[in-house]
Amino acid sequence: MSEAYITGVGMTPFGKHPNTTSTELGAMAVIEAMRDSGIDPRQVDAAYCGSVYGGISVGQRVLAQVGMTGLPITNVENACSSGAVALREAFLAVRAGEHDIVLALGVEHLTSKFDGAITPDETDPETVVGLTMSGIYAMRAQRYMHDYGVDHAQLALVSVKNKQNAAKNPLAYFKKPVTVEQVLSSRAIADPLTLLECSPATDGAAAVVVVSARVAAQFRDRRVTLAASTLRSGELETTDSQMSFETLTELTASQAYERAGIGPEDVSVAEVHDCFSIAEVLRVEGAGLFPRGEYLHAVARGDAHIGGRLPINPSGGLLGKGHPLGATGIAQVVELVRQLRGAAGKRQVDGARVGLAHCRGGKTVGVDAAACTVQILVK
Amino acid sequence: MHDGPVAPQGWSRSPRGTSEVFVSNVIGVGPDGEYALIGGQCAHCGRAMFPLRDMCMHCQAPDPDPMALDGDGVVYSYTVIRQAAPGFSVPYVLASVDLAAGVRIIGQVKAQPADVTIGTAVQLKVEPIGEDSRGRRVIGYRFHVSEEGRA
Repeated sequence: MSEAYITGVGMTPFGKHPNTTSTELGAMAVIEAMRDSGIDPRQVDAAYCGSVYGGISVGQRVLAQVGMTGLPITNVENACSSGAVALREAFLAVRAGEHDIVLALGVEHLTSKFDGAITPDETDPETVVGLTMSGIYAMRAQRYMHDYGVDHAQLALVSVKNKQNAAKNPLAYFKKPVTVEQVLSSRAIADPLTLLECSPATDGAAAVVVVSARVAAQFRDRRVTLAASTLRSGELETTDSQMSFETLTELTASQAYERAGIGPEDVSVAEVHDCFSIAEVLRVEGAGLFPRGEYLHAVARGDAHIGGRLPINPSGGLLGKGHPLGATGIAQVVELVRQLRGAAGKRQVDGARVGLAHCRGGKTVGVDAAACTVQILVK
Repeated sequence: MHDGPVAPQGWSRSPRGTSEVFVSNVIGVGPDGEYALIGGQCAHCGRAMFPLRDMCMHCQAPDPDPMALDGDGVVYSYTVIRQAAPGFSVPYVLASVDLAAGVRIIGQVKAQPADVTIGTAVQLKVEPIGEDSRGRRVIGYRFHVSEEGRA
């Protein structure tokens, strides 16, 4: 078994790209990742492409655009974890010894697909009665506030922090910081969540190059170890299920810590799936990065800000950087690689050595999520 | 194997006529023409489920018994949806409700937002909720605030 390493990363600016297709966005990210890796694209053994609404054979379309044909290309759909699962497949292929150089990419052109709320599958009984993704997170937010005695203004601080980080990220959708008052007074989406607490419909692409130890030996200065990549499907919802704590995230993260031989106390920077303000709270508490019920107090103290005890979403996260579904899981890892290389510019987390990425998305009737992933990167 | 959705003894999983449709395949009609949500109960572990599955959600024993779900529940959490998918009129109250049978069901609450909070007592009703584009009655399910649930 070989260790898996990441030697190249690339991503497009995230935002609205009305005049650029998903194929073109994907190609931009792939070209940058290949150049960054220093590896000839003709040496790539296989590719995995994550997308939710990219359509038939999106990976083949993107890779043909950069002249990459005649290799095993696999498209991956796993809700908001699609990109993360594409990366996991690359990780597994390298760890299994099947391939030495594997490309993982994610691409989404969401603004041409959606105007309004995103839902689980349209035939799902819960979607049919009016459940939206913002609705499910709104219910989680209501329950969290009820269980832990926190208020909406405290929750809004997550959006303020992440948009502040995004303002330091030239690739982010949001360019300006916002205040708590602006978050609270923005348009109501699903009570208590407002527009500025929901990640925006976003277009974008990201790519990483995953290689075996044999190949990585040539790139000691830029490689980062992908030490663990775990995936679980959602948990059954029963009258015992807690909306204010994510058992699914806890289990997925525990498995990743075990595989990587580290614990949550070793993590120096994390990119977590903050599709909504409440989501970041549930992720970091589920992953054991902050004690249960205490994260919003930690945010208020600055513990999760860049320069704080454990910076969360220095890239701006989904709330600030944007959320092109299939690209999100890859883009998180792009940010972590840049952080571990010390190349994150104004967002740099000093001394970053261990990075954690978390994605969680989707829902089916009676089950709390479609997929949850955790990746651990070590310098 | 079975040819279509299974139902409790004496129940049908089909609408009563061509002038009505079910909002989704989780609804059944009883022997006296009454509607209910069709869940299930495992013959092995005894636990309830919604919707009815081919194997138990809890212990994976085969062929859970179909069970008509109705009656009282308590709001576990709720929201007011103000931006919905196309085809829905906003706002509406949506809740996750714990039924006495032991299942948690997401559905709309036919109530003003101010009348619903965590812990509100509600009743599950399967009833006409509107018309489709072809003028057929749509039979759906939603919750009503119980008399004792009112503040």
